[in-house]
Amino acid sequence: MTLSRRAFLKGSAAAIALSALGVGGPCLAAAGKDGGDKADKWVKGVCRYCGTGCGVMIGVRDGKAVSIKGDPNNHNQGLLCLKGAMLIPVIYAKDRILEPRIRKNGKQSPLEVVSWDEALEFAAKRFRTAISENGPNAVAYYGSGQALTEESYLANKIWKGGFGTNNVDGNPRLCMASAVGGYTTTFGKDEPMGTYNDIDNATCFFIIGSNTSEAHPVLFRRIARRKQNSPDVKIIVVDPRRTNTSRIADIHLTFKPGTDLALLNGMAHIIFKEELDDYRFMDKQCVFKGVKDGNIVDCTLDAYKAFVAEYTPEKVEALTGIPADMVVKVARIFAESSATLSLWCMGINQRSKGVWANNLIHNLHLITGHIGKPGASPLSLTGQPNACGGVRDTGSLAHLLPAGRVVANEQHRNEMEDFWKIPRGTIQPQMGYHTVALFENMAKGNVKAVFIHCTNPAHTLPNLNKYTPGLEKAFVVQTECFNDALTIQYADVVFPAAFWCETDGVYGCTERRYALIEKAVEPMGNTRPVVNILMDFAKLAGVDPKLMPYTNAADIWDEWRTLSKGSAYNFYGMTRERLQKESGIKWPCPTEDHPGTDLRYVRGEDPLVPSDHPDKVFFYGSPNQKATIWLRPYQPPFEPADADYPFVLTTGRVIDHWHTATMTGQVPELKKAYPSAFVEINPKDAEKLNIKNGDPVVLETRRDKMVFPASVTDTCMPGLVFCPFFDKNKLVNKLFHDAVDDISKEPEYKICATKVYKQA
Amino acid sequence: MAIMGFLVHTLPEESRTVEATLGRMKEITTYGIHQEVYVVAVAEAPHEEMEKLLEQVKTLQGVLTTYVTSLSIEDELFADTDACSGENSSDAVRREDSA
Repeated sequence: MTLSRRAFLKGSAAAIALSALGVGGPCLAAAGKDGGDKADKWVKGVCRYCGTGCGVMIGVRDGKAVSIKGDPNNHNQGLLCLKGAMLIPVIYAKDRILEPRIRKNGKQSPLEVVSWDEALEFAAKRFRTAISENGPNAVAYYGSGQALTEESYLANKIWKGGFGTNNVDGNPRLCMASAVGGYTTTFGKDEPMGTYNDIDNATCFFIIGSNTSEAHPVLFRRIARRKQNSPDVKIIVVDPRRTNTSRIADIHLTFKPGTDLALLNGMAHIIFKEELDDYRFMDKQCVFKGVKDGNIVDCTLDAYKAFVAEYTPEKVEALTGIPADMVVKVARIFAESSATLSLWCMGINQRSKGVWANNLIHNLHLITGHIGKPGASPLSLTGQPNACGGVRDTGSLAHLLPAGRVVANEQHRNEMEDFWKIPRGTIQPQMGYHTVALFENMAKGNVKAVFIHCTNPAHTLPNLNKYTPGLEKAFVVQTECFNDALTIQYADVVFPAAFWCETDGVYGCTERRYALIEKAVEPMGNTRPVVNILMDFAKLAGVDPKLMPYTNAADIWDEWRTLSKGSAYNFYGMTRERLQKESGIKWPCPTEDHPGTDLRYVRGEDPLVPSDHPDKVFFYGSPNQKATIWLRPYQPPFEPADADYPFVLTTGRVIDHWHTATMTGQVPELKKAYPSAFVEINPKDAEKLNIKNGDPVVLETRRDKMVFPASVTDTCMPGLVFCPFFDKNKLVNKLFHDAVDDISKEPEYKICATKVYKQA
Repeated sequence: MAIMGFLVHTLPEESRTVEATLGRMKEITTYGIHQEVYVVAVAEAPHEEMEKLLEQVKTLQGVLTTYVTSLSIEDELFADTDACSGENSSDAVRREDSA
């Protein structure tokens, strides 16, 4: 039988779909082994978008990427979402930046194409001058949870160990710093103990502050499949919006935005009142702490029980709007399930009490013992593909050093100085500027020059009108792939970066899984891998070349892998060669023959727990080797709705766009699906305000006002409006305040007060 | 024309009806029902239209959602040589500077 090429490609596509279901058969046979088509080669990688970290295979023909399919050997089992499937056209988008450019005469002058040498020297000279005239804290690095691990590790080393400043921060501060704060304050070390495999074993899902169906669609499929295969599995969704995620829920709780801390404490109260707690686990594994007069104080179980006893169902109803009987019901389901898995995302993290909210979720798992067992875990979902592996784990934030170290700890600084072979005392003991403070200090003139990599702060910062002056005043160097990034308007130097599969590097996703993106095609135009850009720039800017003894990204990986040895992040066993062969490995993974770890902190699973440890669960990350149950009272959001500004405005993603749409905006079908931002408003509110679908609606906050077309829908509960943030022509972040969480310094994007009215 | 492989997740009692409906759509070829709820399908259309097509499928009675498993655009890519030539940079600079 002879197949036409198109018939062959169709057969291949069917075979790939079948293989995602674990099915062989006639189609697969017709298409050939592995469902392969006539690509010259298939190269393994990881999707460029969200923190799910789906494995992909990139088909290459005649040196060009032509196809993409899900990696059947990775956790996504061959599936992709539409965004991920549309990644290939992004590589070849007409909006790619392909040449270095500089503004020779200040911000008002045009960006002109120049040689690499001229662009690098132009940037380096300004950094040299800033440091010589004002000291090392006059420069900064602002990175990204999308940068490759090797890039973030290298930048962190250059700035903290080379320039000698801790002004190293990045966009993970805007999305998951509160999750970091939650893990470190409760368990002593960052990163979750569970993995996606817990989805297949959970009998109760507690999904709070996460629109999984749109933000993490492939994971949502896994949850939906679990429910479909086992209808007795319960799904509780807690979200003031009725999103697609709530379609599969047994219980969907809407509530007054910003009051969920009361719900979580109220659930704890019911769990104790009805004796659904696991006293034995708490007694062995936990300590109790609270805050009094600004100081952390030790507490007791009895004190904690008395504390949560104040959160009666009736009180919770009064605060949250959730009926008292439903508070009781969800507490019972959570505790009585054989394995409860909590999933949360920005609805919990982007809050002025985000760390507290994280702590209260962990509390529920600790008091019920739903932890350290298959299907039972708190598991925060990540927004970006490499915020975990690239930024959190490498310590590329202003207060951190690699592998769980902190700049405030002298021993940690000394360990890093010795490892990096730099003089003791090089790393400063004070935390650098966190994100909001960084841009504030750029505006004040304290930070003279910033290197921005792989992120778009002119679009994403809160209260944008306040922070864009920082970008106007400071000297801005930017590595970027797409002209569409708004920050380029403020850049003095633009380094064109090789994109995604044009270079190689590691991504680390939500579940502690590190996976290699292999180079599939040559970088387009005059673009370069960012590790090369960073090293060339740093050497010219005065950093000792001995600090960067690398010929490629693999060398940097080997150094980082070696540094992890002996730490709570130990992944020494993940050699580059191993990552090339396997579709991701979950740390801890201390040796080359270790398969990786599903259940962290669990004896017999986690290699860092001694095999003869007397307890099944051992929280070795904290100094006292216990988890902490925190007494965290309910606190309202920074800016609740009031008589003057009677609505709550919230923001987030839509399924077809990712972040600021610099990538998804390159794909016509994704752009057409959501060409511009809109405001969702409940039909009852719309009726009162005489607003119809498509009407121009003004959102006016204490910062600014903007007009959006109305989308009248019951997705939002009455009193709440939602506006996505992808649209660079309607920068909704101008409307938000810039209050940050006291501990994590993460801004509260999810709640601000607004007026809503129809434009005259 | 791009070629996209995808799974259509259906309600078990509706899977045959969904498969039959998909079979009547000119851009789509189906490859059977698997595990009672998944219709394996392949769409052939300009890649700009794939999103619309998937949305159309998602709105069919009995469809829970769709999952893409692969997308090949090689015919379109090789037809559009400008997109790969790297000759767009100056245009982009002009666009950005005139913005």
